[in-house]
Amino acid sequence: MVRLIVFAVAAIAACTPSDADYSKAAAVAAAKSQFGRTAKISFYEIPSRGVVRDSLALWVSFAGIDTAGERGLVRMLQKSGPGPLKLLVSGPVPAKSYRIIKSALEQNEGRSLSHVQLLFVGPEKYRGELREAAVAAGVRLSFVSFAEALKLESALGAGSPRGLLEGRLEPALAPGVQLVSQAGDSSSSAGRETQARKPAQQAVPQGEADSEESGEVVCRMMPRDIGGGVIAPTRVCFRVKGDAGPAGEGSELSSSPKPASLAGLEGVAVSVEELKPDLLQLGLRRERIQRDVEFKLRSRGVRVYSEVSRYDLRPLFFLRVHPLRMEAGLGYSVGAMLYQRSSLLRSPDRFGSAVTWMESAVGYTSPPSQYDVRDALEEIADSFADDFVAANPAN
Amino acid sequence: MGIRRSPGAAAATVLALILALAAPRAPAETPAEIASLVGLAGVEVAVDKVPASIRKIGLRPDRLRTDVEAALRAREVPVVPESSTLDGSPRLHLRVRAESAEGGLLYSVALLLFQGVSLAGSPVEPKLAVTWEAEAMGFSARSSRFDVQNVVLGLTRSFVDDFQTANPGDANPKNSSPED
Repeated sequence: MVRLIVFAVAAIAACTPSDADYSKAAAVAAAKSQFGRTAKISFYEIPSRGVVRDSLALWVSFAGIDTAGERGLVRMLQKSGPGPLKLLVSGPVPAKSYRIIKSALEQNEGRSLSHVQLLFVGPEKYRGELREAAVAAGVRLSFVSFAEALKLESALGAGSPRGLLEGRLEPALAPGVQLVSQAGDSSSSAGRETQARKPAQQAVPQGEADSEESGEVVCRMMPRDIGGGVIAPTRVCFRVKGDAGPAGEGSELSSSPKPASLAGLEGVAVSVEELKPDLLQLGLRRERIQRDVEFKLRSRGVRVYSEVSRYDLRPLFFLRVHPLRMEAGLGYSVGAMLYQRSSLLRSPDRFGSAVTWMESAVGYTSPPSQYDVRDALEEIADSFADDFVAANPAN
Repeated sequence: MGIRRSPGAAAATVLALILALAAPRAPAETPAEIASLVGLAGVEVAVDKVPASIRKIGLRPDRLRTDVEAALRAREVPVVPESSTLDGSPRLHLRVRAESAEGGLLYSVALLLFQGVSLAGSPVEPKLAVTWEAEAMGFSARSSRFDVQNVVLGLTRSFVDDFQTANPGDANPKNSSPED
């Protein structure tokens, strides 16, 4: 999508953890219990020095957050206790998610939340409510532009909170907080097989990270020398239903903004682009892919229209696969987009179909296997179903 | 269609460019996509976060953005400065994905034009949506930034072609940013 993605970066001062707190299992459990399985969340880069050694950075995609995730976020903010807590939100925040921010503001009164930067897409009245809540809570609230949010996102995506913080947030950090740069190239060092099966997901160095349960949660343990012979507490990096990409290297706008345009949809029609010969040779068939995707969507509660003659009037979930034959294997890019009937704001009389949700990934399979490609498509369909269900819980 | 990985990355580059120029689009959407460019006064350019493997070869978001802006200006497509508000004004997003493979770099590049739209189902609340897009995939055996840059330029040229088709004679360099 055009994904309207929202990130929250929070430096949270928590109580002193035991070593067990840094175990992968504990990190995963914390993520699941606090944010729910469908929230798009990434924990990332934990500053670790002095009294704030347990701070952590958090990105949240409100575009896909569900009720459980919403409650979890508010609960986490409530639990943050005294100490420095910064919440920085970038990327468009759907109007429906304004209440998350508002709750965070209201329920952190007298606590540690001190600064919120927000790119908010929604009615002005909500902005007013947010301003009032911020004033009441003594929180500094500022609305940032789309361009500023993109810069922030880019800095976050670069995996170098140092640059981000030095350039923008450092003044807001409590004394003693020092972020360290992420070590290594986290997006390219994972094994081919793993990466091919995890499009649009943040890759993590092997040995330091594992994915669990279809890659919904990725954890990372990493002792770090922060200078002077001091080994900082382990950084934890994981995300739930990540893409939202917005998380980590390789995550997407994470990259691409994900519009909150799925709310109110009753269902979608599904179509798959004609497959190229290289994919046909692999055994892939367009009809099979379409059937798999339709089944996946239906199993998640998404209504699938079968009347193709009315595609132009109904939202169309369109998938495509592009192959690139290589010496030993096959490269491929998979993408999905949702087309909806729309008109341009600047030219309302001009109607057409616009892409309001989009996701893509690039992968490599060797020896070439149709199942890797199908897995990649399935993950994208899953991601769409997640967003659809989150936007239409009643469905 | 296969890529014969030659000693250099030339073949890969050529293929990537071919793919870029022939980037498939949604079914029967091309006329509508071009139509969505009619009357554009200019575009703002933004780059999504870039994978570490892409940064590693020297391509950072600011560099890619500079490339795209330069290519637009070279063809007299107005590039507007970053706006301070999210008002649905047109923004051209560049998105790069990458994957290590066979000792080189497998990558895909997408160029997406976002504009404010009103959805037919909910005309009251405006959304940002992609009204024009092109995508290409390539492989660089040398993991060369030039290969990726060439694909980016190929996609940008594709956008410019459509822009000029939609706006014949409308290019107005005076609307470009001051650095132009």
